[in-house]
Amino acid sequence: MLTDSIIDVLILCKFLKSIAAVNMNNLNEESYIKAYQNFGDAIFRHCYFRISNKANAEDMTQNVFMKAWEYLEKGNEVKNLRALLYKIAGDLIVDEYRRKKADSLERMIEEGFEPLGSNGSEIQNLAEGKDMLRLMQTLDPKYREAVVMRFIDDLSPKEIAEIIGESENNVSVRINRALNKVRQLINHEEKS
Amino acid sequence: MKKNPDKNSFEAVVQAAKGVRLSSEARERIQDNLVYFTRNHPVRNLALERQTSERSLLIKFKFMPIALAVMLLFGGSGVTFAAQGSLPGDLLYPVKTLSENVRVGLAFSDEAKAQVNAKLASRRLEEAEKLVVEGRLNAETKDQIEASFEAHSAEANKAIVQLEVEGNLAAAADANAELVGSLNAHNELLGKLGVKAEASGSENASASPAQNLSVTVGAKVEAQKALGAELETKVSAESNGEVKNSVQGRLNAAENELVSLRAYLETRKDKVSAEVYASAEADANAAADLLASVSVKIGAGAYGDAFVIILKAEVEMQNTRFVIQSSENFNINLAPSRVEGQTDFRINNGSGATNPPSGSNDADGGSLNFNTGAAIHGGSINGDGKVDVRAGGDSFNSNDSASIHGGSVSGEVNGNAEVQPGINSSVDAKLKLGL
Repeated sequence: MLTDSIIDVLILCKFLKSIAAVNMNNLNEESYIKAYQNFGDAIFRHCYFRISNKANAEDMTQNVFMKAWEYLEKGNEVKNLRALLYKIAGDLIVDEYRRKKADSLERMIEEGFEPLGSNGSEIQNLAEGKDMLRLMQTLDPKYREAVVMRFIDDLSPKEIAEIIGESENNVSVRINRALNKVRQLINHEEKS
Repeated sequence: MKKNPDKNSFEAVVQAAKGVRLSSEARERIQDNLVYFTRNHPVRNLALERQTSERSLLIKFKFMPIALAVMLLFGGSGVTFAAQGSLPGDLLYPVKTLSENVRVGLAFSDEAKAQVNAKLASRRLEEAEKLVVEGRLNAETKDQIEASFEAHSAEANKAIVQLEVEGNLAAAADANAELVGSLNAHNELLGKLGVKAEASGSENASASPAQNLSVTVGAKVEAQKALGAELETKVSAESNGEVKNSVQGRLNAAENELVSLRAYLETRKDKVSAEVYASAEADANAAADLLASVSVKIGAGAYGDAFVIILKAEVEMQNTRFVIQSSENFNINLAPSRVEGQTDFRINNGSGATNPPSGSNDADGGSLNFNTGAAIHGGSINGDGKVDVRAGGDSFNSNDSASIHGGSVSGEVNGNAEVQPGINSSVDAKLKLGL
C-alpha cells in the first residue's frame, strides 16, 4: 500500500513536469510569435542581402516562419530555433535563385535599387545597407552566403557549417576567400 | 574620387548594413499573417501514424503503476507523447485527457478557447472513428466520447457567442466556420464507417453506437450552422474596422494555404484512388476560384463579403485534406459523386434572358435548363434569373443570381437533389444524390 502511494506521488510530480515540458516545447503560439519578434529582422536582413530584393525578402521572411511553424506542428522537437530558421531561409533562397531565369548582374542591381518608400524610416533603413547590397551583388552566391552569415548574421564558422551542412574547414576557407574578394573590391573602388 | 584607404571600410559597410530591418508596416503585416496562420494551420493526422507503433508496445505492460513510474522516471516527457494516440479504453487515455485539460486551461482569450475546444471536439470524433474500425465502439466508450464531445463543443459555442457579443465578428465567424466544417466532415466519415461496420457482420458491433453518436453530432452541426448563417450575415454587412483590416492578411494566408494544399496533394497522389485524387483536385480548384473572386469584392469595398468568401475557401481546403486523409487512413471515399466524361464549362455574368435548348450547356445568364443526363462538373453558373436543374425528374429551382459551384448532377438518379446554400444566394452544390 505504501509503495503504491509513493509511486503515485512520484508519478504525479514527474507527470506534471512532463506535461509542462511538452506544452512549452512546441505548439505554443505565444512563444512562437515572440520568436518572430526576436528573429524577424535578422531573417529579413539575411534574405535581403542574399536575394537583393526587398519585397521578395519580406515574403520570404514570412515563409520562413510559416515553414518553421509547420515543422514544429508536426511534432518535431527543435533545440535551436535560430539555426532552423536560417536553414529554412537558405533552402528558400536556393529556390529563389533557381527561379530567376537570367542571373544577370544588371538585372540584379536594377532589382536591388527599388524606389524607396515615402516612409522616412524606410528610406533610412535600406539606405544604410546600400553599400553592402552592392558588394553582395558582385559576389557569387556561395561567397555571398558566407559573408552574410559570418558578418551580418554574426554566426560562427561552426554554426554556419552546421546550418548549411558543410565542414567547418570548408566554411572557414570560403569566408577568408570571400573576405579577400570583398577587400579587393573595396580597394578597387577607392582607387577609382 | 580617391578616398582614404581605410582598412576598416568593410567593417563600416557591415556596421551600416546591420541597421537594415523590416519596415514597421511589413513587420506588423507579417506578424498578423503568422498569427492567423498558426491558428488555421490544419493539423496533420499524425496521431494515427504514431499510435500503431506505440500502442502495441504499451499493451504489453501488465503492471500499470510500476511501469508508468519507470517510464516517467527514465522517459521524461515520453509518456504524454505516447498518450496522444490513445483511445478510450486504453491504458494511457487518462493521461491524454489530463494533458488536454492543461491545454484548455492555458487558453485565456475567447478565440483561443473556441479554437482549443473545437479541436478537442474533433479529436473525440477522430477517436470514435478509430474505435469503430477496431470494433471497440460500444455503449460505454460511446457514452464517454459523447459526453466529452458535448462538453467541448458547448464550450466552443460559448466562446464563439461571447466573441459575437463582444463585437469580434471576424473571429466568431472564423471559429464557427472551422468548427462546422470539421464536425460535418467527421460526421460524414463516422456515418460511412458505421455503415461499413454493419456490412462486416457480427464481428463488428460498432455500427449502432456509431449511428447514435452521429445523431448527436448532426444535431450539433445543425445548431452551429444556424449560428454560422447569422454570423455570416452580420459579417457581410460589416465593411469597416476589424473585418476590413484583416481581409488582405487573411487572403494572403489563404493563398499560401492553397499553395501548401496543392503541394500536399502532389505528395498524396499515389496513395489514393484516381477518383479521390481528381475530386480533391477539383476541390482545390474550387477553392482557388473562390479566392480569385475575393479581389473583386475588395475592389468594390465589400470587405464583409470578401471575408466570408475567404472563410468558405478555407473550409473547402480543410475538407480537401480531410477527404484525402479519410481515403488513406480508412479507405473511405468522402468525395462527392461526380459524373465522368463531362467537360468543365463556365458561363459568365450576362444580362437578359436566353433560353437555350435543353441539354445545352452554354448560355449567357438568363434561364438555364438542364435535363436528364446533363452534368455540371466543377463548373459554375453566374447569372441573373433562374437556374433550373433537373435530376432524374425532380427539379430544383434557385433564385436570382444563383450559382452552382463545383457540383455535379447525374440525370439518372431518382430522388431529391439536396443543395446546400452558401452566401448571398449562391448555391454551393456538393449535390447529394438521394440514395
